[in-house]
Amino acid sequence: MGKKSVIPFGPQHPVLPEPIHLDLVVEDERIVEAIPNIGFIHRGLEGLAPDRDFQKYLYVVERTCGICSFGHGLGYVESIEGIMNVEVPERAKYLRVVWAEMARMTSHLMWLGFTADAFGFESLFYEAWRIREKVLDLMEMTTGGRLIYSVLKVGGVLKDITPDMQKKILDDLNEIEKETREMTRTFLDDYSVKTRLVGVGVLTKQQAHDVGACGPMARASGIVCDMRMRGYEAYADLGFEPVVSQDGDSYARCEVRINEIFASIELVRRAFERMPKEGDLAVTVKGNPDGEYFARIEQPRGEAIFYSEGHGKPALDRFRLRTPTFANLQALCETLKGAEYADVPILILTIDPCISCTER
Amino acid sequence: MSEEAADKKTAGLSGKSVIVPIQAEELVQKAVEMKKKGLRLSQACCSWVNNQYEISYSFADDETLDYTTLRILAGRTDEITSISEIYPYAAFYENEMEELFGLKIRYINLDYHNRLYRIKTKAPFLPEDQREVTSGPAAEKSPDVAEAGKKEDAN
Repeated sequence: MGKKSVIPFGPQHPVLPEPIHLDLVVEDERIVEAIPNIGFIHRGLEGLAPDRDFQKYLYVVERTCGICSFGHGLGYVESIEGIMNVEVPERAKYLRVVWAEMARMTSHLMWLGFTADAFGFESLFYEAWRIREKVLDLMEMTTGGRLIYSVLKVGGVLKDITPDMQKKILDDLNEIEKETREMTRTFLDDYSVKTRLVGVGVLTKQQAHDVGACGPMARASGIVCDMRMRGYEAYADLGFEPVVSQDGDSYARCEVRINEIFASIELVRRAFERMPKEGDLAVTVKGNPDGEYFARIEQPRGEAIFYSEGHGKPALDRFRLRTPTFANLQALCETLKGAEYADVPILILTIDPCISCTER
Repeated sequence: MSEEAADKKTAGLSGKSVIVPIQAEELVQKAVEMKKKGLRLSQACCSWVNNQYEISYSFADDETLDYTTLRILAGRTDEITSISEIYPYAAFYENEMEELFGLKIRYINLDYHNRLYRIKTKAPFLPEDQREVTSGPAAEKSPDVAEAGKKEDAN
């Protein structure tokens, strides 16, 4: 048995895209314990809620993060609509699903690129990001933004997706699906990729439950938990089924995210099929929020909780956002136990950390 | 939100959401009950409303998708007991409540002692007239943070 030593890892590190710090207790190149530390870029966005009109605060919430911005906006408007008992028009619900799923695709494709980069497969990184650009182009065409979309409002949406745009999206999705399938062969079948992912950072179903994991991290360990199963927005009409894997290792987490991209493509197709051909995009919302509501939605990284509390004033008294990465940090520490030091970057990446969201 | 409004909004959605008021002393016992039922701690948060803390611990049932929130009301100097012995990952949430709201929580298994977010202002999410407290963990600012604050003030 070797001597134990503590290696500080991050917040600035060549392989870390996000500013998180871990104190790694190492023995013979193996991690015995990992103690996480966050808070390097905390911005206090929740603290702005009491100073902003609840309608305008939506644009602050969207800016919590550039990758999950649509999901943050969606969760926030859901929480306000929950308090004010606002029934969103059917067409707006489907449009929200379309954008939410395309945002999920961009997030997962970005993660695939980062992961490929982490195990030294740069051409695969470029391929994932090249495909992601196509999805971003579709987002830009329909919303006007590539990262911050600002297309939501309390009571509906601000923009429509015209039949011409729908056709373009469906055509491009066929191409994106084909290219993603080709890329998937490398991610899931390549020998060198499998060497880096299979059996690395195993989190059993019981462990995942015990540490409160959520999102793809939990589903890769066999936990069937996806907030879209609740049927919010139009998900109840789209025959949604969660993507689950059983092995709980880094490979399973990669597999879940890849299959979720295909599931998202299918959901967009179904949404266009079943969306009312015409109808209002939003309803007028009068008054101020008076009450409290927990909205739960499925972000690309997992379950996100949006809690809003208002007392009849234009500004909320409290807004709270619990991000999936905040919940998955404990799962990360669990997967690091017993792992080799060289696998730390991959393991951190497999929770798909978004510290920007976490440090809201 | 009125219960009627909540029911209407969640009609058709799977999973009920309920808020259960409890006393601070009951928290640990209730958390044990939640753990025995196999529920996952989904979030914990705090707000300052009507001159008192509203503390919420939410538990999710991943099978039924039900959502149960335990609600505790506490005064500015009241102390609550951590549930991090039962749910270890509650530690981050509790550190956050302690640091942003100055809520006193004892026995957190991984206590950052007000250095989770490294914020110079003590309890920044409280109204200014409520930030100063005379005792308890929230009053003990770590020396390095306090020192950094003094230097910044001098500049």
